Amino acid sequence: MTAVLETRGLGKRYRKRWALSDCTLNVPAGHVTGLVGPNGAGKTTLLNLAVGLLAPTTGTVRVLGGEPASSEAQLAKVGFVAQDAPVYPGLTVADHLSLGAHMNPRWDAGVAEHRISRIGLDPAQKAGKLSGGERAQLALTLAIAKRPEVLILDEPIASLDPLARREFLQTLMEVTAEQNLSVVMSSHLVSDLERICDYLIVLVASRVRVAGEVEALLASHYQLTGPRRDLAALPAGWQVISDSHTDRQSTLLVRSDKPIVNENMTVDQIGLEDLVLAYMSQAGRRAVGDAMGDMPDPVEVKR
Amino acid sequence: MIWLSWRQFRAQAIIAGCVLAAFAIALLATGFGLAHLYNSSGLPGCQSHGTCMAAIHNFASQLRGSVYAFVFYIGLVLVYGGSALIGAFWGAPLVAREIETGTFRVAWNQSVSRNRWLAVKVTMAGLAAMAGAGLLSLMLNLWAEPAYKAMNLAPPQSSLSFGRLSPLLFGTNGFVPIGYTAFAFALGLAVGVLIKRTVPAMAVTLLGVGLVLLAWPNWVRPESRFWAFQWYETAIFVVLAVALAGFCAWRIRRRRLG
Repeated sequence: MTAVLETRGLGKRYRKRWALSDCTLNVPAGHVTGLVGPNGAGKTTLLNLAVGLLAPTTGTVRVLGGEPASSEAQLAKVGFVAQDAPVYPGLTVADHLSLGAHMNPRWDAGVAEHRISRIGLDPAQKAGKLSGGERAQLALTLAIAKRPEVLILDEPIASLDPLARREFLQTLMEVTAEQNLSVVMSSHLVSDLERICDYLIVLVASRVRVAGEVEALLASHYQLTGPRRDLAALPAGWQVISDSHTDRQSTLLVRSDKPIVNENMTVDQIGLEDLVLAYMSQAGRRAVGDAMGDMPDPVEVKR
Repeated sequence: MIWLSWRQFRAQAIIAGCVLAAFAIALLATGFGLAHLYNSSGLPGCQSHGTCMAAIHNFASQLRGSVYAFVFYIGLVLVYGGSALIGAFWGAPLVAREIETGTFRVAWNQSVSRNRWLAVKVTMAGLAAMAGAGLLSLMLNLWAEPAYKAMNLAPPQSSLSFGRLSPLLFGTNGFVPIGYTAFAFALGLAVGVLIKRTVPAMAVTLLGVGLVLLAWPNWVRPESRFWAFQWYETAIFVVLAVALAGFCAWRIRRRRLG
């Protein structure tokens, strides 16, 4: 099966600053992929490259095997909701559905109207007067009724209140189940992604820190607690993601493809949120040496 | 794409259509009176009697301060001001507003290429602008025919002989207004694509079109053969307009926005 998102050495530079560097990914089809990282990490840049709103400075990006926005057939395969879900303020909700119907060959009017009535949007309402949540729902409806093969959503829930957030995620889960759709969505909140994502990409300070299926990631990361250990003397195949020490005790987050047996330490499974936070703070510590300049304080990542 | 372009354009088109219709009514209401004034001023057949100067003075004195003069000045303002306003209100916001409000991200992610998106938008509004300018100029000149005829009867050196090649009138005659309007529209489009903000782009466009319309007849246009220069000048401005639109298409395809 072709990859939903395949990048090789992908990079994007704005003047002197690299918003994304050396990004190599291969996200298989059929997943709900979460792209997570702090604000300014390069998530929007990566997604805009994937839909062809930006051109790469280095490397290549392919979506469903095709170059982004290279043809109308390619555009038809990709549904996109940009950050802050822009809509035409002067056009009504019904106008937006007409827009979708006139501009997309595979448009599903039934799905669109059904969704609008279920969300409770008034078709005669001007889109400029909608609340943030309603606007996000309208933009998502446009993207879904287009019947794409992959849905790309940039921070779709950041601006929503908790109720709207839940409704939005609910919709997304239903649609992915019904339409056999791949999804790539970004968020700076791990908790939002935890519920629906089965594939994860952690992006910090313009670089991909870890990417993979959530189950496989959880199964290959271990939290170890035990007597103080020298990091230089750990078994081969252990990759230390984070470590903290007291005089007597060490707490390590280790990635290992082989199961970790006792080793004199208590072995715990780790949750997705802790895993992501560990990668983020690891990147944060490294970034001081990287001289990236714009690395946010890792503490901010913890909401 | 045609649907969306029309949906976005129709309010502007209706406003312009109303202005044009109102002016057409004003021309209709005064046109017969102007023709009557010409006939009754002694101008027809004045050459065989050698009374043309007196007849022209008679005609001109009746025009001075009359409703006809007023309508004609409005026509001049519409032709020159109209092209500048088309540039500012149709050309400049066409892409700039989409960039400013982020809606280009919506438009560019439907199953329509950016080239088609721009081509449909520009063709629809651009042709409407050119048709409107052509119609306005045609109406005004049909209406003003008696006055032009009177001017042509004046001896070449007299102060009353300012023919259609005079800077002011050349630009309202023939095809040239179509060329001006196409250029103003495309200039607005390009300024909007570069500045990416609606209101500043409108201001720069007004200024730019105003400067070109002032500078062109005074510095550039040669003074001779009317129709030859109508064609040349229209062609020059239309070519400029197409070049500007092409630049915008290139810029948008290269994803230099956002």
